[in-house]
Amino acid sequence: MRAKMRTSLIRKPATHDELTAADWEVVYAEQMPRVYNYFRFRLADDALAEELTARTFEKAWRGRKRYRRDRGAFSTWLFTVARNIAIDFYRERRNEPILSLDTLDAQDAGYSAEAIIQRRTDLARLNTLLDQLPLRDRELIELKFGAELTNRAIAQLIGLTESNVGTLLHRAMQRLRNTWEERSA
Amino acid sequence: MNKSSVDDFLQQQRQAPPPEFTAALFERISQPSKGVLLTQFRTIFLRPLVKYAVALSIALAILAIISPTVRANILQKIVNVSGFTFVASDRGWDPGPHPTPAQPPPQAVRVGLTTARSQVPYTFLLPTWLPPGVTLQEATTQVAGTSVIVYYVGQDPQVSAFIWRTYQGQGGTGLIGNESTEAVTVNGAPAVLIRGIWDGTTAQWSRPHLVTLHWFQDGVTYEIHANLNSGLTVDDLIRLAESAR
Repeated sequence: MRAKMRTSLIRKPATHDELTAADWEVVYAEQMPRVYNYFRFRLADDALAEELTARTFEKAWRGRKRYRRDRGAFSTWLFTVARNIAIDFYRERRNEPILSLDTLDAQDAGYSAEAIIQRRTDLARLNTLLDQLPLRDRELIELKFGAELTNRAIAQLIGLTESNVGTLLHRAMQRLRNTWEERSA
Repeated sequence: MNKSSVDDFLQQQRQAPPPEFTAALFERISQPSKGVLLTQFRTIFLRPLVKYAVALSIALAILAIISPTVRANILQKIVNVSGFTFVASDRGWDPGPHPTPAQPPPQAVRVGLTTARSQVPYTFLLPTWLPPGVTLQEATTQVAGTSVIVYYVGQDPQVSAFIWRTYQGQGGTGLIGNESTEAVTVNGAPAVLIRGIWDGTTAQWSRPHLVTLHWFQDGVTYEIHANLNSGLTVDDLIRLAESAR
């Protein structure tokens, strides 16, 4: 019942006037992990994923009245915000002096040594794997596997047709599988 | 390795956000909506103010559209200092939607200094003088495109004393805060010091103790990024720059 209510809110959200704090709680529970994993796949960094997820939801909350139901699903609007946050982040980073190298260690607080090694290894492996793809294909994978968006939602988000997204995803996955097999051989 | 392995791997990389992060963020963003007094305050005081602000903004926008000079002065202005071109603005990055960049930013790869030298199509210099207690941390040298970033550390090897960055050609570094530049010299040649960075979280220019010294030498732009709260001074940065060999 609760799952059904959540789905209806996400896919058929209330008008912008009706997006109340109660609705927001449901939206947050449903979409926050998706946004978080989108950034994890994009940046391969847990701390940065948290930071950009926070920025996305703060911006979305402030601007929630600008959401127009007739222009698409709320999740599509939310991921438009997330993508712009990512672009802003790259621009900021171009100038930002990175003065602290201790963030990696801070992220690992509370994890066992084995868990830390596994986590870092997996994130590095993920980044290496996705790095071989062109930017657009990489983002398709991030949206599909990180954010768990449907091909239709991805198509709306990045301005392609649904079938085009399916074809590009198929090719990208084939490329990843080939590389995976070569490295595993 | 079978076909499904990479699919499985990708799916396994999804993980739930840390619970404490989830709770703290929700609390932070939803807090304002809980205050009835805040709502009343908005109704009584803020809405009339917003109306005036909107009217003023429209008037300024019309003025800006009519006059390119006024537009430049209001929104941003081009600043030329010591041969470097920057765009100065109080507004920081435009919070509106941005087009997707044609090319992704180059990925930084950590390499040794020797490898870094072999990977870029130019010769770059490094400082021969270092402040007491500061050493080169060669293991953190990074190459991103033609840009080389070298870290120098102080007593705490986890914290950079300063960062030395080089890239080919002379370029500005995009947007800076208004009144944030200072013309200086390096070995008698023009250079520029920039204070502060844009804080996307608070949407304002901040942290004037974070400075960057830019100078151009033999076809290469050099930058020193430093935190003046860590004990270094502007004179130290200039001395570092002047010791480049």
